[in-house]
Amino acid sequence: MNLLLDIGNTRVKWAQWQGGRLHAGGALSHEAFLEALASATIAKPEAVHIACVGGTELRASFDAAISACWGLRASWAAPHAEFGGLRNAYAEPERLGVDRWLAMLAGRHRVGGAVLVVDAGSALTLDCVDAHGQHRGGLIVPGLGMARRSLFSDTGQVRFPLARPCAPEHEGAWGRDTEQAVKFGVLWNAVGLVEYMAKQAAEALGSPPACLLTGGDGAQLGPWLRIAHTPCADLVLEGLCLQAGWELVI
Amino acid sequence: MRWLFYALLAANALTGFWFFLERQGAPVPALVGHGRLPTIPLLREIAVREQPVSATKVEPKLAEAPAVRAYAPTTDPLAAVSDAPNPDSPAKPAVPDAVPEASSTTASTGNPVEAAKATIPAVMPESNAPQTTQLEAPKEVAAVAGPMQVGPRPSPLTEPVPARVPTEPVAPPQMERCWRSAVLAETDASARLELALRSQGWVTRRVAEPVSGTNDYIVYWPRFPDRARALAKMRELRSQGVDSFVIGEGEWRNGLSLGLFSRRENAKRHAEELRRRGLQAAVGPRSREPERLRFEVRLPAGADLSAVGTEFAAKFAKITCD
Repeated sequence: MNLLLDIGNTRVKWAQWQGGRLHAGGALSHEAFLEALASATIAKPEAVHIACVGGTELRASFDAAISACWGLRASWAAPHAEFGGLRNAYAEPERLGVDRWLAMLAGRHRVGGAVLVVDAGSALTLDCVDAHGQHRGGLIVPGLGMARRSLFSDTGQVRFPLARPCAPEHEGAWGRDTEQAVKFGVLWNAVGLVEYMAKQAAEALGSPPACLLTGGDGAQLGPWLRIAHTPCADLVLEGLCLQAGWELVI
Repeated sequence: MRWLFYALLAANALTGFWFFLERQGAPVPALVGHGRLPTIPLLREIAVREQPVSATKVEPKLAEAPAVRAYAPTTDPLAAVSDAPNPDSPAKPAVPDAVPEASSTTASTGNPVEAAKATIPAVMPESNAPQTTQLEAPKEVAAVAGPMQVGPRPSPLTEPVPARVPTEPVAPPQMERCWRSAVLAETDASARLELALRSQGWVTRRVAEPVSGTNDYIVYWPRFPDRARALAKMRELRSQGVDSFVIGEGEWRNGLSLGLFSRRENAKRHAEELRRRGLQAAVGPRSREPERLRFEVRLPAGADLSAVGTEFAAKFAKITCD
């Protein structure tokens, strides 16, 4: 078994790779994963490949735990200037978020042409890749949860259970209380951005790129998008496989 | 009038000669049109197939049957000994086209097309037909003998196929055991358990239970300043026999989950009972809808469920394997 970890800002998403296929796992908090390692209840994998957007402290804690538990050195993915036909738009390629890089790599692998990758995680990121593999650039805005929390923490009157589900009944619904006003507003904000940038990308590229939607909040965003899109839950982990040089059958 | 008599006589003689020539030059329609002809004329026809007259007249008739394309070239004696293109066989298809036909054992005794199918394996290159590699007879001989083997007598070509060889029945693993977990109240715990189970390589199945939407109520110990203190309290409670889990995310992160209830009354009753024991317990609407997962696992012989941790192993009950 080869273990793949996508360490995000709040959670660790894991999967196994075996026989050319990615076997999706689950997601758990950083602490829970480290506890699981410490409890020695996870069988030793053949290799561990990690994509991590956290800081050096987080990375060091995972490195130490993996080494102590299995005596393994994990392989940490990093963005390249060019890999597998994908060319990084950043002047300093290493400064691009590795999750965005890997998601683009997987998106290009899946689509084989122009692609717009939307990652609705802690942050909402959009990245556009043209048909020749050139990354045209990206955008980063607060994700749905982060946007709600910012209103919650920065205002005195906005008080409601942040994580309580509160889905609009129809497209473009107005909020009838503060909780709805915030939650619907944040949602339409994200929907509007994605649709606007998809339109811009189509004009810039000459035809609409395939839109792939990933990230933990993709399920909230997807139903309201009026553009064709494909949900891809494990895009970052798929990219991790590809950058590790492992064959990947989608 | 005499010249007319001689002219008619000559015409009569010419007509008779023409009919004679027609009979001599058209043996193939007679052959094909009468299926009762024995097999031997067919084989002879194959042997002389290089003659243009015979070949061109047989093909249109055989083309009515789908197996014809495989028939004519693969029974070519040249093809039997060499993979080189045969200039006399312009319609020779690729050998793999004939592979499905090779396993056919349903040829009937009188039909030259079906009979020819039975000869196909004998002329296939061995690399493409591994089941025929034990055939020791010369391929030409096999091609001739093929039609004679159809019918009730099994073809020796099919005998080496492993699937048809009777073997000792494989006994199912007797020591496999199946277990089903309880629903773990906290999503992190559930995720940890799944990771532990699957890392062992055991066959693990998720069983998702319907979630009752926002009608769930959680009994919780209010959040602690950090996870370490929450964990310490969790261990303390467990030592007192109170099941609890640290909440990993959401508005009660680093609090303790003390139970989930679909009805508020039941949640309140449980919280009151805990408070009577001197514990802090509040009731709140469940803030998110995690999947209520159970895991079913099939343990191979010799595996120990406690490898995932005794704490988790205690959550399992034995079930009958499917």
